[in-house]
Amino acid sequence: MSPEIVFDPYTRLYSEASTLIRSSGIRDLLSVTGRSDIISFGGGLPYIGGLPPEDFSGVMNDVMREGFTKAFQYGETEGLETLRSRLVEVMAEEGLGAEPEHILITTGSQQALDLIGRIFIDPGDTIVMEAPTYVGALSAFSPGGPRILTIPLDDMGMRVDLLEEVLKRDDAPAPKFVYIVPNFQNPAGVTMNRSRRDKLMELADEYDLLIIEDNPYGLLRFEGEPEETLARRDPHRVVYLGTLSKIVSPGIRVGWVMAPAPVVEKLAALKQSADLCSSNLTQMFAEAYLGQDMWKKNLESQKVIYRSRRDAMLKSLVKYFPKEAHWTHPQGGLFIWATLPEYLDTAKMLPQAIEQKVAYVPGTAFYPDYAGANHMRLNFSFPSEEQIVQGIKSLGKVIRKEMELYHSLGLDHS
Amino acid sequence: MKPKIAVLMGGRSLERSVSLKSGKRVVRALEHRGYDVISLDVDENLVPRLLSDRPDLVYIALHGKYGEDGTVQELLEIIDIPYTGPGPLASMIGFNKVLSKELFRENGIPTPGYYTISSSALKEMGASELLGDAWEKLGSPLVVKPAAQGSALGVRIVEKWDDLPDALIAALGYDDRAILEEYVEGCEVAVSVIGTEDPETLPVVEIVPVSGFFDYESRYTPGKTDYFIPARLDRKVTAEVERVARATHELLRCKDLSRVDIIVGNDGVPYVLELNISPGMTETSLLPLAAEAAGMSFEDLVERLVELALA
Repeated sequence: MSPEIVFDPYTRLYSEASTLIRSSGIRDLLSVTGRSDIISFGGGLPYIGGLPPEDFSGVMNDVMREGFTKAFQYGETEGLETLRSRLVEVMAEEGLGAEPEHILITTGSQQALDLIGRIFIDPGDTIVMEAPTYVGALSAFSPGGPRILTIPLDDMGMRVDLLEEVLKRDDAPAPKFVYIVPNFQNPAGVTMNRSRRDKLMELADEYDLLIIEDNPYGLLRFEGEPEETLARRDPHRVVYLGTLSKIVSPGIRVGWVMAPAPVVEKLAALKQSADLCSSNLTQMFAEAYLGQDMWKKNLESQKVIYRSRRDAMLKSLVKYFPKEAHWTHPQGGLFIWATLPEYLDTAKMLPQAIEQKVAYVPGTAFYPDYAGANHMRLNFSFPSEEQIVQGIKSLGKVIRKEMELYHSLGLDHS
Repeated sequence: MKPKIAVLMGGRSLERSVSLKSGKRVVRALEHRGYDVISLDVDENLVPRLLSDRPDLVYIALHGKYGEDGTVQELLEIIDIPYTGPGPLASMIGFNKVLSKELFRENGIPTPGYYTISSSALKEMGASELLGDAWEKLGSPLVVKPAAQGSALGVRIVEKWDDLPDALIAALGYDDRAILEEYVEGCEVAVSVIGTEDPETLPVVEIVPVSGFFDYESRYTPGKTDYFIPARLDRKVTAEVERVARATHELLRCKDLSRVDIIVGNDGVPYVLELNISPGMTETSLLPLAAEAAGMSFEDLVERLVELALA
């Protein structure tokens, strides 16, 4: 008898792809931030507390009364036809024209990312992402084993000029797609400006690129003028992802993909094997909710709250962060991206912050190669203004203490 | 009537998620054995809850700060409710690796050589000048760890001088004081000790991390570490390891339970690294594993600890 203990007797059965699943100890550390006495800038939660429950229960009651047998039945894989029509109206709010046939309802846009990864990526394929990029897209695409080419972004979004340089190289492998969050990017909070959008679509033509445009926050603009979506510029080159998670609720898990017909068909075939269909119940809720004007009214009041929270955070950052730090000024969305002196490592600093009852997500989470150690993502939609002021104040102290420590070790240079 | 037991778990420590796993397993085991169980996630309502619920016993499934450093144990002494595991003094010493190593050294329990350095000494006394000395005296590689923290959080093995400052920053993220410890090459083992007077040891568990280093991820990810029970040591060395583990347990005056982490050097000497007063109870934890090898199911183990605490 072998004395060796095997906790996981299935190890030999796991697929190669399962070994590529991204996991991190940071998630465990952040589990402590679910506690009420910790001010968390870590999550990406919309502020549901700001919504009127009676609006939601009214709509839900109507659904139960009028659609009981349908709501609790299986549905079509593509999603409810009636909801897809409503989503066409939602997209029209951003100037996007669409046909319901080109829409596939997904279980949040996270499912869309997973499906996209699986229909496009073979091991070793090149895909392009922003650096930093959405952590959920990284985890959705990674099991496919792609080579991830990252293009840095700045205050005006992805550095399309750098993308062009890469594409120009003779030995450059043709990327399967370019994944981008053009509005109020997660984690950076920045929005791609018009000229870069123009340039990106030019490159798409020139190099025959497919763009995955992930737009969860577009309707959460509380300042400035909206930019035209990429999908509107060229619907044949863009797979567009939308979601109700940030403008209605993440609890209903309703997202969607709008894509050229053959892509929708492929995605739908895969979705069928993934979960047959999204929940009729929550789709019917979404349809009914979007059918009434209250959704716009509620969204407007959410935006007022988010705007004043963002303002509170920006003001506190100026007041409490060291002068060596800088950060983005989002005109919408949920996140501010702070950049600390280059020698600092926000992952190493996180336990100190948690000890001081404040939390954030370290920058490394948003890079495929775990670069970006001197950045942190700060969420302003969920904590209250008082919490934001207090939390940024504490965080400022933690950063200064850490800078002193680096100084004492002669490490405060890049 | 079976006693009413409050299981303390979670809390605000950095090992919260591990503790919640331990705690929930303990709760399930106690419920299966017919106890009246209350789960308590430790927060500012802890004392009021204990005062109003008046459990017959508190099961401590907390890990890390407040649960393992004597804080909760002190409270329970005042409220006068019996609890599982060692008392405040053993907890305080066990959680503080500097205090425990100092005691080991004075009492003839082998422990790797070390120096400590605090962040205030670095910031206010120019202590970084001394790192070269420490590096030379301890030899490389060396281990850098926070003076007080569990689950190997903040622990690094440093092979190159240039990596030392970075490892110090990581360790000082968890505690104001860091330990620079001599790296002992050998066989890593954990010995669980049960009882107070004349304590017994459970089978010695040998730990072989696939990555070469038993870090946080290796500890809690199935498949990342291989374990051998009993450890692949010869009988004489095993007996010595057990003796040293018991001596450590008794030296710190541990009540009922501890887990002693040891490296058996290539010279055959068991060097004690630390003593844990609230060892993990997750599915990949060492104490339940050792108990199982001794023919004790998880439920048996939990019930045994309860009986010891009530005795």
